[in-house]
Amino acid sequence: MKTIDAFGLTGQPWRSRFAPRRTLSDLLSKSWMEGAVPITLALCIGVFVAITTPEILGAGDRDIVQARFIEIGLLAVALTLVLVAGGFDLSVGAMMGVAAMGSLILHRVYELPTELVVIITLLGGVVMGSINGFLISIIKTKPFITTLVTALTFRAVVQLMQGEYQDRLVFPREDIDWRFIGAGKVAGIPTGLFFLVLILVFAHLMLTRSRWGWWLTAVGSDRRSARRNGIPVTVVSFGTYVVSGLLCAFAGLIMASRQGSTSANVASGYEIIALTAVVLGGVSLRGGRGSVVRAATGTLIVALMGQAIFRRGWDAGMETVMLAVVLLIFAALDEKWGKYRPILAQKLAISPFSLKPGPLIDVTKPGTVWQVNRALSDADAIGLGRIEGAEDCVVDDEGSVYCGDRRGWVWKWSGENNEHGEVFARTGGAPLGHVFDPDGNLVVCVSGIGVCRIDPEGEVDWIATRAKRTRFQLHDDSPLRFADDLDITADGAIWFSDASTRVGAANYQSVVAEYRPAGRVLRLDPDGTVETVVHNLIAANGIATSHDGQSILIVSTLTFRVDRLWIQGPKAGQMEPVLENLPGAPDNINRASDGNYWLSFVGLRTPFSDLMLRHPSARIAMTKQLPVDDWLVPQWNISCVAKFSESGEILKVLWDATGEKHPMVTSMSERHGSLYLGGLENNRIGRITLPAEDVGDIDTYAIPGLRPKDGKTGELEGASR
Amino acid sequence: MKKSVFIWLASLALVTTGCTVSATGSSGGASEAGGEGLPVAVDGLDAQAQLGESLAGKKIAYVPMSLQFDLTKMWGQQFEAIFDSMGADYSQEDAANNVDTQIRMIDSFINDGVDVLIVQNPDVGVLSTQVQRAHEQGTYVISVNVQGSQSSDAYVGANYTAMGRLLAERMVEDCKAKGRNKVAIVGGFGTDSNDIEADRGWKPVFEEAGMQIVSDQQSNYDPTKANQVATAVLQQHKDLCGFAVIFDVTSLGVAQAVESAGLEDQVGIYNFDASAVWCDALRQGRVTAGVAYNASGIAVAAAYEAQALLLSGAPAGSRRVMGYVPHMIVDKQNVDTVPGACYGVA
Amino acid sequence: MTTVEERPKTSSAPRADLRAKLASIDQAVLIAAVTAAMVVVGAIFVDGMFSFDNLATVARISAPMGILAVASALVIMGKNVDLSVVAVVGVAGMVSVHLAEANGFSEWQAIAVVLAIGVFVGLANGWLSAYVGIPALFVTLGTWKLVEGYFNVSLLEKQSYTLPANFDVVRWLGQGSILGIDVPILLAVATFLGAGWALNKTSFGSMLRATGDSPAAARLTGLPVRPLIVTTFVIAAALAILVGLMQLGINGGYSKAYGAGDELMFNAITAAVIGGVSLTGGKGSISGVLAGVAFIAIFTNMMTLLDVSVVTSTAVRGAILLSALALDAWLHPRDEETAKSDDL
Repeated sequence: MKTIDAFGLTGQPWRSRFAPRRTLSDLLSKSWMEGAVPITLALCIGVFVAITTPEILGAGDRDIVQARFIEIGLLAVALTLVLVAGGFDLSVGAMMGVAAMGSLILHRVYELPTELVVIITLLGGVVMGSINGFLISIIKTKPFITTLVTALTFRAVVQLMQGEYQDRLVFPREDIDWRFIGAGKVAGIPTGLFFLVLILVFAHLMLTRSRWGWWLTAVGSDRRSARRNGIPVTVVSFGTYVVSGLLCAFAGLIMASRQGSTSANVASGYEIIALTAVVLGGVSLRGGRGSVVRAATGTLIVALMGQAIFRRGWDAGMETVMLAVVLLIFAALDEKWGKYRPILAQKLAISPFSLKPGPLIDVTKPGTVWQVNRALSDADAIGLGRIEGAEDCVVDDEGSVYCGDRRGWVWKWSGENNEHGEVFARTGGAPLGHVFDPDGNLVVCVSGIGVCRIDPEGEVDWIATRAKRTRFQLHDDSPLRFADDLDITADGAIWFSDASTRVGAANYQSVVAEYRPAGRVLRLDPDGTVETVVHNLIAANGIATSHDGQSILIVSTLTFRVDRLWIQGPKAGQMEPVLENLPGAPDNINRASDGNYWLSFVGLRTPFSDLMLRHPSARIAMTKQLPVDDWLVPQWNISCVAKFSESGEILKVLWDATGEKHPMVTSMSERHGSLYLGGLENNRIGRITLPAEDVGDIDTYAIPGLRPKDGKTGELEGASR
Repeated sequence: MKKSVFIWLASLALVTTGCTVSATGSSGGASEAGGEGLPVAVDGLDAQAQLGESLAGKKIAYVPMSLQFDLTKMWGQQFEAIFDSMGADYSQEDAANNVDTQIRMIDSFINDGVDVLIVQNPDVGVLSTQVQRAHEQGTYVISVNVQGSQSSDAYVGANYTAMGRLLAERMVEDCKAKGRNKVAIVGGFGTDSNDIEADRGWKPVFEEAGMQIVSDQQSNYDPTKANQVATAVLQQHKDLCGFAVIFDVTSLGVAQAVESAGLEDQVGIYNFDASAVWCDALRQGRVTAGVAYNASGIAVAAAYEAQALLLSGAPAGSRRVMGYVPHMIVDKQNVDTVPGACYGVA
Repeated sequence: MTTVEERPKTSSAPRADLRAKLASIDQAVLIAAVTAAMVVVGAIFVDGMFSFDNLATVARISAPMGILAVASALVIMGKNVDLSVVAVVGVAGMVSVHLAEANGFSEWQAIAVVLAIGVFVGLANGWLSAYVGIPALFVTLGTWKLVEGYFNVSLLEKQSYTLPANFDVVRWLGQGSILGIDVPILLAVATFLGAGWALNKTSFGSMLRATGDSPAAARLTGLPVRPLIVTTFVIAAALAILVGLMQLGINGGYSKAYGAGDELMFNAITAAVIGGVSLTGGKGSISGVLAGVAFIAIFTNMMTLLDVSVVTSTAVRGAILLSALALDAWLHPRDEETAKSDDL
């Protein structure tokens, strides 16, 4: 079945589909936006540098930029991992220096084979990292000051080593294995670059796709939560410092092999270069956010900048100045962007839509079918004071009433007068729509989660929690945020509405303020697949299978209409209106036993609410300036149920003119000659006994077109009549 | 994996040996214009023309550790004067005392294919790889002041060990006259070649003469640090004969400490090197004596070597020579007459 | 020590008991005791250590470090740290000498300009960390490198400058004496007394402690948290300028530092931290800083007198500082319930 676009029902021009504010909000909400802005700016700097100083891209400078990219890149990966886990490591340059000097001593003075030098150096890196890790993660000293001190100490160690071995250190030892590290190639790629890329890919996958990476991010984002969730905070943080030491040692090894510098100042100042690179790549200094790939990109730009400063003939000290400026700017960007992006996304999230509703029926005019009466005023109360917000209810064969509760429960009210209440099941969301399937299970639409099946024992089984995501759309609409009402057809399919792809029931007011088509109707096949059958509805709500089982009736609450979706017969796949321009906002819909349908109204239109619909900018101002409770929306405090015929004629309207018992009726369910009333803001389920003229012989709970499994249902209904 | 690494190692071995051999065999751009040096018999004007031709448009680069010091700055000024007048394409870079930056700059120049590279080694081992690479590329390398472990085409500098010895001998002489036998050394980083070579020069002399080295501390060339070290030493050893100090900046810090202690008449300050600022201090009597070498002579000699190499057209790395400039003791009496001492920036 | 007896024994484990006992001792007292012990050991084993002259010299030499330690302590008490003081110290000497030589500024003009630069750097540090919200460590790391690099690149032509003849105040700051006491020592004493008074007797001190203890709580209470933080940075920068001018006077000139010259700053921070000014903010006392400064000064002096090489003593000092940090962390353990990830 092709998905039907219901946008036309709003009567608005095609261009109204665009919602720039909301698109921007969606864009800002993307997690990748976190790093996108800094990295874009960084790339702009890179491009600017490359254009103004094109020599740096020449063949001669490529080696040099590449060598720096490799060495700083390894440090940047190390620093990123530590930063993401909420720590800091200022000793990266010093550890690199120790490794460079140490490996040269091992190679030149002790003339060890290269393999052994590599192993010992990397082990040395692990030891240095462990010292940092031990102090910071286990003793719990402060990372910055600790690594500052270890950096100074490691640097002193380099000088001591150099002083001890300087005489024997100066003569290079020709060794092809040794040169391979700094100047060799693996598969045509320089050794260092090969390993850097390998490490980058590995670290990226680890950070984004593995449990270890998630742990790292969790520890960096919120230490306390991480600890309470059983993440071994100490081990994770210790691990990052060890890995940092290892990577720095590797960088030192490459540098020693490449340039063989015996200076005691080898790799000094690399800390600030690596730090700048990492910050350029949008890695947050506050922990929890960062990507090694972006850090590597930042590194490339830093490497290009350094070479460009040399090529332009600027003082080498300028490089430090530029790095410091970039560091400060990007640190400020990290701080501000990190803080204001979600706030801005939140502010722009509501993007009201202009709607021109049709003529308004005046229900107060006497003599019409809409005339206000007291038909619902004498309803009996079930579960009075114990129920909190039962949007919908159903009644089983024994007469027990099942209804939802905003606390996530499904109540069962049994006993003669339904006086015995128990929590039948706990869903965890807000149960909104209920229906029995042919096997006697309760199928419930739960806002915030999806659709579940509750067996007679009260066991909850989730049968639909995700829809297929719409392609080419920024906003992820795969979760079922606002599953509202449902019904079942003879083929076993469950048709359910999702009032909004953006918010859940708790925020229904924002749906009302926005009036933008974001609702849909989905079909859950017996094989478990979920497909969207109608989209772009404004607040799709009540769903009912027609009496002949050939079509589905769909309520669009905020466009004040009911439509029929043909699912069988010659018009299958088409939509046609049943009721339009209703005087109120219709909510749930159910079959009546006399072949007609019941329709409840959650609220009534007023001339003022209609006026607000035409002025989206006024609604933006409203959402910005008023608390939610003061928003101008249709008149909610109403209890009204109407009966209409298959052809869309309003036959009868039942009111509670006093409004005392039911401030809001969002659903009604006819069974055993009674009408049960649910309400999202009510503290009870209401029941009225229907007059004989309203009761027919159709079992309202039987699935149209499906023969009952036994005659029991029919008998019971007959008996109660 | 291991096998492939070995294969790559093997091929790398082939490639690198090939490179080294071929590069050393042909000497790159330098030989093309240069020819075989001057003919046996030559007219003065022809010779001038030939030299000019061999230098014209040649790229010559000078990369000292830093251009912020009077010594290296002065050399730069001299190189610029000589090479610009000969029509060569001269450039110099300031590595701001960062060894890694200096190496990066040298690498860049080698990749640019400069004809002559004049470098100041931070210490003997640092630039070995670069000298090797430069020779492979056909670039001449002239090192000034510090000889590297990989011989460059030419090395010009001062004989630090001999200077240290000379300075120490002068100190011993003065101390014997004063009847004191305690000396203190205030060095630089302790790991740079000035320090090491000076130590090699003066320590045996002190030992032989029975002088006691009461302190051997590093100043990191920071006058404040030198001041503090000297102050502490003077507290402990009021009967000190003198300080052996490396470089002017350091000795000025030491001088300040001696003055603060009020011992300027008793404790001598003997410096390695003699710059204009230090000579001023010497004239004021704040320091005792120093060993000066002909600093500007180093630049002249290096420039001569560059011209000679380009004229000869010999393959890079095929002819490795070295030479020292003269040095002598400077004190208040001869400060204005020692050639090459009291250098400063123009 | 009476507090030890009053404290209810929560644990019978001797380790925890020891920790409780140690933690109850003021760290200032602890470090002062260690320093005193060091002096005693030095007096016995190190020649020339325990003499009035030597100790007076130590005091004079370490006066700049002491002033800088007070500056660091103030900033640390506000839960920040200032690494850029090292650059500001350099700027004071560099810029004033340059202005006098190249632009013929008078001494007071030169001092006014460097003071303005210092205050500006302090304001920038404070604004970036308190108002923009970047962690102070990164802010001051950036401004350190920026200021140092900028002035090094742009300013000096020569390698060494002697103190301009008309710089009498600067010379007096570094070399003068009143009633036989050296001016640097007097300045350091004044700084310690001033800071002690400001911290203990003024509302500024109480507010600063409250801010450092918990910036969020202080802000909710209505304290001007951000102006306070900015003030600490400005004071630190101004003190750094004073130290720079003093050093100019002490050395009788300015030379481009060949080395990094950051030892002074690290020593100052070390002194503050081992003196009990906790990096978690809000804790510590000026007497503790004094004890810390004394410790570092005596230690350095002993190393010099024992002729231990600077590199070795750096390594040893690093080890000492690491143990001090570890001890601090052990005595005042991080509360895992309130610890934040970005608490650097």
